Amino acid sequence: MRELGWPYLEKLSRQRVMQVQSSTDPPKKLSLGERAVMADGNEYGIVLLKEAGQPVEPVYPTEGTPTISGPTGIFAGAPHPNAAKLFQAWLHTRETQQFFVDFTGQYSLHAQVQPKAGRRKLADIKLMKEDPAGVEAMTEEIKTRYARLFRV
Amino acid sequence: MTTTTNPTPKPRIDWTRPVLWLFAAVLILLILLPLSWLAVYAFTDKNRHPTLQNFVTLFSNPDFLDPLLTTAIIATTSALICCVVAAPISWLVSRTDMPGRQTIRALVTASFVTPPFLGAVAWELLAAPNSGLLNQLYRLFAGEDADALFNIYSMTGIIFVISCYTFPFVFVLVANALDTMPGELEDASAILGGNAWTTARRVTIPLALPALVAGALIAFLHAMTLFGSPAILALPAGFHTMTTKIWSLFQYPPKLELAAAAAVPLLVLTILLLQGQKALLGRRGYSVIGGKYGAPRRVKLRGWRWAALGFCLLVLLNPVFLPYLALLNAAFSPNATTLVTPSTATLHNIVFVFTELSSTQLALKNTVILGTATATIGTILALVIAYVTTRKVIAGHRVLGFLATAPVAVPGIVLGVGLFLSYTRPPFVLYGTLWILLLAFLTINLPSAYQQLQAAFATIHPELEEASRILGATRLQALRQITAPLLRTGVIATWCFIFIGVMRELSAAIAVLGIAMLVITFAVVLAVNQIPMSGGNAGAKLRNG
Repeated sequence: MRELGWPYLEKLSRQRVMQVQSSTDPPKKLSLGERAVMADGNEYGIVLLKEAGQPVEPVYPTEGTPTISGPTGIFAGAPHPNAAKLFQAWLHTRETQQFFVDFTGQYSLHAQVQPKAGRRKLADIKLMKEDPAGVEAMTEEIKTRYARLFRV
Repeated sequence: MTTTTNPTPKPRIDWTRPVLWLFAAVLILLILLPLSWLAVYAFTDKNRHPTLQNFVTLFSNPDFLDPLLTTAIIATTSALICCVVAAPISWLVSRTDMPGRQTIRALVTASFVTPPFLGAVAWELLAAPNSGLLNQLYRLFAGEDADALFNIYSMTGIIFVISCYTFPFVFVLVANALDTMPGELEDASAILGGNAWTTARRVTIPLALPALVAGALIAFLHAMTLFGSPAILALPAGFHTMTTKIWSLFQYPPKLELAAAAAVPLLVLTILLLQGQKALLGRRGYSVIGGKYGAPRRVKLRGWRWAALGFCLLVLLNPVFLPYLALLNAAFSPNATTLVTPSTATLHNIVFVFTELSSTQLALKNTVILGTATATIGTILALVIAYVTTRKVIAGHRVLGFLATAPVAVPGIVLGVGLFLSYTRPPFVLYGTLWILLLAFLTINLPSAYQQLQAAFATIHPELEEASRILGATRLQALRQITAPLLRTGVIATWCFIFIGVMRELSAAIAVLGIAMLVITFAVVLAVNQIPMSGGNAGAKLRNG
């Protein structure tokens, strides 16, 4: 929205876009042959489909790609904070992160993690900047306006 | 039943009181707690100050009014379609000499036990505008570029799928009314010179009408409160129903007050419609006064017999044959929307779901645990309440009976909201555990379990127990040695009924699902979302096959 503005979304909404429930849905509609092109969704869905031999191809827009980061944390009132710290330490080891990357097709910020052969490096994708605070302040407006446009 | 070791010679007064209070407390906890929290949230703001603002928002904001209108259209149309389809089939099955009547009954039951969301998934495979098997078939004849013949992602599509899995409600009621109609009334009409059409118009139809209207109300109710089919079809179609809207209110940032308020109209309408249904069916008694009467004679269809069977099978193509074929195809095909051939057939999907997909094992295990626990606890609870109410052993038995049947009037999604509000706070923090699902399933299944067991008790005359008591047995001994063996079939049937109900139920689970909790019905929904389409359907297929 910030990068492209509402006029872009308004034009998009007039193109019989199919909205689905989850960001993991679009690759499946694609794989079933229901639609030929998907936007948004998760890149790893497409990457995994391609690696499974399906005739699909990810396209990285020159304007930039929106990113979703998956933060982890420990509750302040966690009943076993030390166990949680231990888990976090394990979660962020090179081996664990490498496993996640290989298995799920997502990206890790761990410097020593290598992308699987044939997958694009995170550094080679032009990323849009995340702005959680800005989004949170406008959540209601964005959701309402989007819902009216795309009727979801 | 709590004091099986009580040695006192006259145990009646001693243990019936505690039992009443124990079971009354359990029932109040199960039913009144969620509904009270629902009321509290619906009529207060975020700081719990009383307000009607939630309802003002609900009835003035188009984001809520549209789903309300959509739901009304879907429910009304589905109810009408159900009647139009179910009435002739029940007449053919119940009152004519059409061949294969038992088979047709069995097939209607098959569509009855199909989870609505599974039916929706199957119809997606059949009638999605581009990838649907039926549309692919149509394009073989009409050309590659032809517009889709069917579009399941539309209002019509949703009404169609809902009708497919709602018409059995009407069928059961109407067929039952026709089965039990006294044959003499029709004979009398015939003797007085009425021809077949006059008899149908003046006698048969008026007698069956209350059941048909009652069936329509139930169908309306079911279509209105259904979550499974709209959850899968409404969003791609570009609209919300009330149930999917309530569900979306739980997404971040959750608006629990609005969700509670949106559930209130569903609850009120349900109670009103059930009252209406009761009044209609209650009045039916006037028509069948008389002594013993013979079974109605079957209408001879002669040359039309096979045409009638063809009609029934054609209708059942939609809820049963086509969807199950699509699921079967998906289970063995590498791609769910490609027709399987002997050379492409694969067991990969099934192997994947049962050996590789890590959530399947957990989901199967949790489903079995939940099903067994709910069925066992539910049967015991229903058994005690049914005993208390049929034998009138203690004062206040009416209240227990009322509480046990009350959940009938609470739609799954409403109960889900109530359960969420009740069990995410002290003293009962159950969110994210199996227990909240246990409570949900227990509450949902209690009314039917209670009614089944009450009917079973009613058929056992108290004289049998009294004879045992006169011969010196205590109440518990009489129960164990006389009543229990006679009730065995009923109890087993109720247990199985609840167990299957748990397998089938989704709508309460959806609102209370913590991330780590997977029941297999839910795993299928998740599977549809998270693993290759074909794998998900293998699971779906096998669960039902």
